[in-house]
Order: sequence, then structure tokens, then C-alpha cells
Amino acid sequence: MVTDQNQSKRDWLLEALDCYEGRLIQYADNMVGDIERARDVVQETFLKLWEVKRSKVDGYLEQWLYTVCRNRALDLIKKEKRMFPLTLDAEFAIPDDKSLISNIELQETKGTILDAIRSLPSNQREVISLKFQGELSYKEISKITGLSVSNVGFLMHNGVKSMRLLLEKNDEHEDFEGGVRCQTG
Amino acid sequence: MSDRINEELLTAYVLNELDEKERNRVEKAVQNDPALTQEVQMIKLVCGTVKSELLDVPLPELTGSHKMIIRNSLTVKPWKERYGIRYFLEWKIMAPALCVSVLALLIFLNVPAQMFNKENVIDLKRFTTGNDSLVSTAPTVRKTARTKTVGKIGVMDNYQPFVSRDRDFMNKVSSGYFMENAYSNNARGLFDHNFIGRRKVFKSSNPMQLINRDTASRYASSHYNLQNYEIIYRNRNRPIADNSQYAVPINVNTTGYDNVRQLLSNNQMPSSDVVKIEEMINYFNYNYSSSNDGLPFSVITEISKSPWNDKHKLVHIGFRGNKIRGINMPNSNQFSESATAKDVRIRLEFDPAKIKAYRLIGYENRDRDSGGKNIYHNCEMYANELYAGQMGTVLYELIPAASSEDSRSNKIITLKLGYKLPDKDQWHIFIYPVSERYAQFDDTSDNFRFSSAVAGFGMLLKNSSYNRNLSYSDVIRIAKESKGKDQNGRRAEFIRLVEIARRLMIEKK
Repeated sequence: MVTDQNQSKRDWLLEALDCYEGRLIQYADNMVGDIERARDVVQETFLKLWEVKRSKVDGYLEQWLYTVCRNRALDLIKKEKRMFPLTLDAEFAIPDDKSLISNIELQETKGTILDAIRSLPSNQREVISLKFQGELSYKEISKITGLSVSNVGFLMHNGVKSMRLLLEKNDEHEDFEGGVRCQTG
Repeated sequence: MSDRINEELLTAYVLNELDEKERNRVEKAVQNDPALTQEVQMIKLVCGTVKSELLDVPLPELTGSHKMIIRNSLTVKPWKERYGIRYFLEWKIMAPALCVSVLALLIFLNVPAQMFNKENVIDLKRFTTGNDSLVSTAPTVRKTARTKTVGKIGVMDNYQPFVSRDRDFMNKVSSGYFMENAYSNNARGLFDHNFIGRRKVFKSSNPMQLINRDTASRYASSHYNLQNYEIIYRNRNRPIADNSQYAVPINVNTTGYDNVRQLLSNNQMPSSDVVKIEEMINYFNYNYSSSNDGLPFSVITEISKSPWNDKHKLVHIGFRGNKIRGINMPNSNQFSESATAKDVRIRLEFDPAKIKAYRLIGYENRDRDSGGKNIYHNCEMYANELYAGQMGTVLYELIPAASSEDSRSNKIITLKLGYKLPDKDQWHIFIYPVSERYAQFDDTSDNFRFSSAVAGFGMLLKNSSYNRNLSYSDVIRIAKESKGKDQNGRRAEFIRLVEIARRLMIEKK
């Protein structure tokens, strides 16, 4: 039985799907490291949205979607143990440049921005992804991840520093033939 | 390096995350310290690079099967399963109680008696005599509960009443449509007919008879079958009434679009009265080609399905003042001051065997100045002057008639154009039959699809009841597919505005 109200909720949900699916899949992909799994996560997120009363998410839809997506992704990671080279519990200490590099897996990056983001330590990766791909504010990121705003700021700062190194490294790659070179000093 | 400024604050500053107090503090410190300045520059560079590179990355999508699974799940569980037997019992009691009380209310309001009161049905005969057009003699119909139940009179959102003798049709139509082929009986009209009743007029299958009984006999009926334009004939002696009051102007401003753009750029949804669909449609350059047949302006028509109601058709009519021979136009998109025609009048006649009703898209608020009385024959258009290169676009939505197989012609619309050359006083009349054959929506031109997306967007913003199933996402998809060259970037900007509107609607609903 499809009432008018349900029809409009259906339309609303499908619109929301069109609007947010791309960014959510990107975010989930950064979390789980597998685009197909990421799509599954996003699908589950929207199925959950259907079950929820619309009044409960009105005004908070974006935050709700990211939060649920995050939780689904974390569940998936726990279930499948290791989905991604790096674990979730990376150190929170302030790294200097050298230790930063050692924390980053020096996989041969193809040089794209997505690969650069993927090479980040997972905690920085999440925050950078939400900021630059999701276009969310520190406050929103804090609500979604459960981190404090100052924690978010800390991770963002380190994330930006890491991105800087990765981007510089990519620039170097263009001058060298193959192989991975470390930046020294 | 200053200790007072935490490194993280610099990143937060670049990302606009600081409140005013903190921001000022950081700015002051940065200005006074070249090392900090350099650091901020570096952070800005990295953030800027990341942002701009991400813009080039196409957003991923769910696969077809993912989407199908989602769609299939968007159904409601049956009542029993959701709420149990308790609710089922309640509904059993509630429903009859509701029915009884509604009936009591209706009886109280004397509605049934009024339903059968013949005075509520506008008698067509009233419109066939005198000098007034259908439009101006129609009584002002207010939106009351009474008119809604009757179903034979309604008020559309452009304040025009719709009437029909055909009760079956009226009962099926879900919202108001202006009666088709309502011609002016004005003897002084440019395209007048002696119009008594719909059916009488169109008894003849040869529309040439209707155009002008004086001159029709001069033309052989074989001309009637031409696909494009037929005959230009002069009509020297016909007195001309000033029809501008009753016709829709082709030359429109585009400030309506500017207002919508400004509001959406500020993340505000435009209210319905700010949205002027005809101005939005005409904001874009459709780059109609000029015809070479010596006429001062070209007309293009294109018909296909309407994207917001697939049972209806949409016709796109474009006008362009032709280039004047011998004059070099540096930029074909700009129009010079030289008029190619004046007092241009256009009327559309829809074949009633094929078209049950039609609706002009846009132009809704223009009759406010006349005190709410509608003043438009919305099948007539005019332009006081048409300049070389100048373009105008009008869209109509059409409800097809039930069966059109018995019609011998494949002409669906007759376009009648009247104009004068700039320095002459003689009228020229141009008849242009439009063929019924239409392309599938996806095979239509970019112009057709893009203009339909713009119209659809306007209808969404106005929450138009004529919109059956078009969503913001549909508008975006159609606009993206029909963007074309988009040399001035306006179409891309349009797409961005629709995305903003979609996001606002999703979040705030």
C-alpha cells in the first residue's frame, strides 16, 4: 500500500540519494578501502534512512547520513578484520617529518589526489575526506566522528601537513623514473 | 616562530573555521611574523591544490542493482504487520465515522444542491456574441470548496478559469486547463473567425476556410499539405485591433532569472512569486538559425513529450529576427537596433481533434495589474518590434485528445503570424502548419530538452500542481545531457543552481 505520504517520502529519499551518494561512497571508500564494499555501505545507509521517521532527521540529514555511513563502515571493518593496510588505532602523537613518512605507507602512488588521501593514516584520512570531499565543517566532523573539535583541528592540521608531503612527493615522481623515493631532511 | 599561535590554528584559519576573535588574533600575528606568513601561504597552497584536484574527480555512483534494491525496499509494510490488530480495529471504526461526518458537513454546506446547479457551469453560448473574448467575459471564479467539488470550473495558478462542455473530459482532468481553441469573436481581430461553437468551426477538415473567408478561396487546397510554411498573403484592408492587451509578449526581461540566481547563491529558496518561468526560459541562448526565405523572422517549432507528465506533449516555439541582408553582424547573438519587423502577432491554433487542451508555460503573474482579471488569450503572442538577431522562446504544454486516428491530416498546430515591415503599414500574414510527428524526448534537440529542464525547474520552485513526476534530480540530469557547447557558461551555472535548490529542499523539508 502506497499512501501519498509514503510516496513523497520515497521521492525525498531518492532525491537525497542522488544528492549525496557520490560523496558518501567516496567517504566510505576512504574508510573501508574498497569501492564495492563502500557502495554496499552506502546502500545500507539509505535503507536505514527509509526506516527512520523523517521528522527525526529534518535539518540534520547530511550529518545523519555521514554518521550512519561511518558506523556501517566501522562495523564492516570489524567484521572483515583487515580491510585496509593501516589500522584504526594510529598514534596520536605529533610526528615530525621523518616519523610522519614512516607512518605513511610508501606504496607506489599513481599520483592522483585520491591515492594521496588513501595513503594517509586512517584518522587523518577520515578527517581530510570529510573536510575536502564532504565539505563539512570542524563542528560537523566532530559530531559525525565523535571527536572533539580541537581533536579534529589537530588531525586536520597533521592531515594537511601529510598531504603537503605527499603532493611534493608526487611532483618529484614526475622527475624520476619509477621507484619510490623518500624525501630526506 | 611565535609560541602564542598554535600551529593548528593556522590550518583552522585557512579553512575558515575560526570565530572572529580568533581570526583577528591569528591575522595580526601572521602579519607581524614572516615565518608565519610563509606557513600560512603553504597551507593555503596545499588546501587549494587538494580542493581543485578533487573537483576534477568524478563522483562515484551506486550500481544499478544497488539502486534497484533500494527502490524495491521503499514500500510500506502492510498495516497488520506494522501495527497489529489494534490499529486494524481502530481503522474500521474511524473510517465510517469520518464518512458520516463528512457527509453531514457537505449537507450542511449545501454542496450537493450546488453541484447540480446549472449556473455553476459556464455556458459557452455566452461567449459567442459581442465583442468580448472568452477571457474577459468569464466570471471571476474564486477558489472555494464549492468550485472544487463541482470539478467543472476550476482556477489554475495563473488565475484563468477553465471551462468545457465535455463533462467526461473535465472529470478526468486533474487540474485546470484552459479550453482549447477559444478564439476571439472580435470582428476587429487580426485572425478572426466567425466562431459559434467549437465543433461547428472545425467541421471542415480544411482549415484554410477558417482563416479568412475572403481570401481563402484564392488558394488551392493542395497548399495545405505542405510541411513547412504555406503561403504568405497580404491583407490590406483588414482593420487591426490593438491585441497587445490580450496577447503574451515574446520579448521578456530576464531579471526573473537574476533574482532566482541571487537567492539560491545565498542558499535561500526563491518564493513562488519571484519565479518567472518565461524569463528563466528566455535567459538562455538557443541560437536559432535564421531562415533564408526572405521573411523578416524565423520560427522554429519542436514537439515531444513533456518531461513532467509523460501523457502530455510539450511544444517549443522559437523566434528569431532574421539578419538583414547586406548588413554585417559582428556577433550573431547580439541584436542591432535595426528592426526587421514590427507589430508582430502570432496566434497558435490547436487542432481540437488532436489537442484537448493547452497551457502556456509561464506568464503567471502578469495579470496582477489588471486587478486579477485575466487578460491573456494565452494562445496569442506579440512583439512590438523584432530586431535582427533577437530571439524569443515560448513553451506550451498540450493534452492530447483521446483518439486522433480519424484525423486526415498530420497537422497538429497552425501557427498564424502577422507582421508589418518596419517602414510600411501593410500587414503580412503567414500561415505555418506544424506537423504532428514528434521525436522521442531523448532524440530532441539540446534546446528542446534544456528549455524543458528550465521550465521544469521553475515549476518545481513554484510547486506547480502540473508537475506529475519531475524531480530536481531529473532536471539536473536533463540539463547535463543537453548542455551542449554552452559558450557563455550559463547552462553550467543553471545546473549548479538546481543542485543548490535540491540540497535546500532535501534538508529543509
